Amino acid sequence: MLETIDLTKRYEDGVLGLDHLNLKVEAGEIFCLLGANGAGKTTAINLLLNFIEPTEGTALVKGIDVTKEPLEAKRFVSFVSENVMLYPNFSARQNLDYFARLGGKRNLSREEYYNALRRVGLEEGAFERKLKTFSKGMRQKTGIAIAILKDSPVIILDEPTAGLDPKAADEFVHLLKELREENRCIFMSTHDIFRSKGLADRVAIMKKGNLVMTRTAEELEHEDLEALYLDYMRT
Amino acid sequence: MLRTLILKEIRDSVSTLKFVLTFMVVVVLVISGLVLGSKNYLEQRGEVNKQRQLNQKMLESQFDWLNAGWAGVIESKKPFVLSTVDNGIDNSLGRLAYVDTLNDARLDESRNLVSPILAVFGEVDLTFVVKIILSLFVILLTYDAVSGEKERGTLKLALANKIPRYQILLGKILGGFTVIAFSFILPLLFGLAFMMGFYNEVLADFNTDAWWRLLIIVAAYLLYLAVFFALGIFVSSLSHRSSTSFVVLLVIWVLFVTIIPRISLATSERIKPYESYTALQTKAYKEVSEKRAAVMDEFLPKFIQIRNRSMMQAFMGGGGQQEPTTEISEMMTDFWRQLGDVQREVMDYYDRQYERQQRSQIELAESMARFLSPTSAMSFAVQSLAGSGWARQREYIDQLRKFRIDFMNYVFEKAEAVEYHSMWDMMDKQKLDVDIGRVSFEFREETLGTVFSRAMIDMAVLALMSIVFFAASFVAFIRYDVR
Repeated sequence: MLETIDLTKRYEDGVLGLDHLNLKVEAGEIFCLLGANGAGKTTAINLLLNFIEPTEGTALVKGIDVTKEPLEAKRFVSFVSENVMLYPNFSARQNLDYFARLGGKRNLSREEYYNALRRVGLEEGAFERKLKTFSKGMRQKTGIAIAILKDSPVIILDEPTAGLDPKAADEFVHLLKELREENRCIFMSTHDIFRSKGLADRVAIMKKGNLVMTRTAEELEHEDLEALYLDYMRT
Repeated sequence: MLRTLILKEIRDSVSTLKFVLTFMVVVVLVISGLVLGSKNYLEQRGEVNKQRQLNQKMLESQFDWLNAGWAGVIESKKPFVLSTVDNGIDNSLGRLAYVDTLNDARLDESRNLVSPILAVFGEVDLTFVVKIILSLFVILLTYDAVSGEKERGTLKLALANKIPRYQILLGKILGGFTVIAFSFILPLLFGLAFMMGFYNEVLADFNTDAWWRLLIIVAAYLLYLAVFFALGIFVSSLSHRSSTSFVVLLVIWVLFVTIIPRISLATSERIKPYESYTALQTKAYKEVSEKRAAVMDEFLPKFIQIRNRSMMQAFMGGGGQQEPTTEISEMMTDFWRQLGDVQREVMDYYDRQYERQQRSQIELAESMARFLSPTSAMSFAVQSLAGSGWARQREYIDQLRKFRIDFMNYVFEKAEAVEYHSMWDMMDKQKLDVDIGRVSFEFREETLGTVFSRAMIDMAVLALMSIVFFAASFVAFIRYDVR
């Protein structure tokens, strides 16, 4: 469903953001990408979404080359970014309505928007409130609701739990599991080692643009992910 | 999809406090601008007739027709109905036209001179609202059009969908400009409705020609706002922080609105300097006194000779009332006319010389400013259409000079028609018979075609600037780094 082949990005200043990344994420799988700041996680996501052009290699979404047919590939992707502010003067429903239309979902009923917001755990009283009154967690939930509403087979998340309180983060993990049950392919960059272990089908660690480790959930049952992560960061 | 993008842009813009506040300010300023403009227009229109009545009384009370010619008439400049919309430089230009047989026709006593408070604080007219308030509003609306979306993370979210970048920008441009056009046109309609209610006699003076001119003025305003709008989108598409684009736009705004027009003037003063009016007047008066002395030198010996002959005839003829010869009367008239001709010829020459140099400098400054500052281009276009700039002033003076010739012909005709049979006749004061129609100046407004062709160049400059900035915005946005 999501694949990168020797995906490489060297920036104009010469910095190697991503070095021949090869990975494949299937439908019904959650793939967590760990790594320090600047390791190349966000670069990989930016390439998958065609926000930047690769120096070398290919990124595929549902078999479609993201660089050659970016608009076609984006039809199958939902994106949740870190700390999305959304439109502060729009209500949660209005934000959903706008992005749903951009995602090709037109004429959804008010109830459908409310259902998406309920699903991410946003309190009912906030549905018609302006986003500028929302906490960071509430905004993040709205962002996730936007992704759900697009109903795409691939969901890419860039550090989605950053800034969420533990309860909200747990609810979020629960939601991702539900989405996996719906056979969606979930690709997520995160710093949250603890939740990655309980959530991911596969976990990978990136360092200086390289994928240095990949483990399945079964393999991790017998290993300490945190210790592994710290080991890779030290070396 | 474009509809969704446009509607979002409109909704996002009008739901902000800055929009609500600015819109309210614009409504208040547009209405008060039109009210003040209407009051001034009616006041100036009333002055025209009052001044004519005064002229009649003044001329009638003159000693004779030659004196009447020297005293001349004062015309209060008839305002054009679109002065309600744009004052232009009218307050700084003369509002009273002086026409006499000695001096070149001229306009004097600007409103700023009569009411210096106007010069200190300036007047709020529709052009001021567009030039200053709305252009700033446009900057407030556009400085974060792209960079703000990046900061909020919404640009990435939008671009993660199947939408081409150009369409997102097109939505922003169409939606954003709709908001700006609405923020100007709606208050303008409120203002016109207000005029309909309280200043209907002003609206009654709007003929078809004036309505067309107003429509083109509104188009010029919108083109001006489009330049700032496109510029705002462009700068926002170049920067990644809204604060940076705001500062950059503010600096450009100051340059366009205040600095470049002044620099253009200063540059043209250096390129085409001219002598001050006082210096030229000094030269003129020196020349006049020399030429008058020459006329005097020629006249006096002849006059003394004829007077002596006349006195001798009277003496030889015995007592009784002395009859001055017709020759003396004719000679006197001719002498005064010669003195007048000398002064007129010299003063006209220097006045025209001053005017030519001044025009040349102004034209150079205008040409530079219009291509470098949209504010200047807009002001010139509106002044051409509203008749509040140099063009109408020049046309007014040209027509006034033609009227002066008619006025002189009338006065000299009258002067020649009077026959003095004795010295006592000359001394016998009688009220002059003045035909008010022949001493009143009727200014013929330029046609719509003439003013439009003059405004076209400025409007074309504005359109070109908009197109360039819009095109640059597209290029910048296509290459914009959304990370």
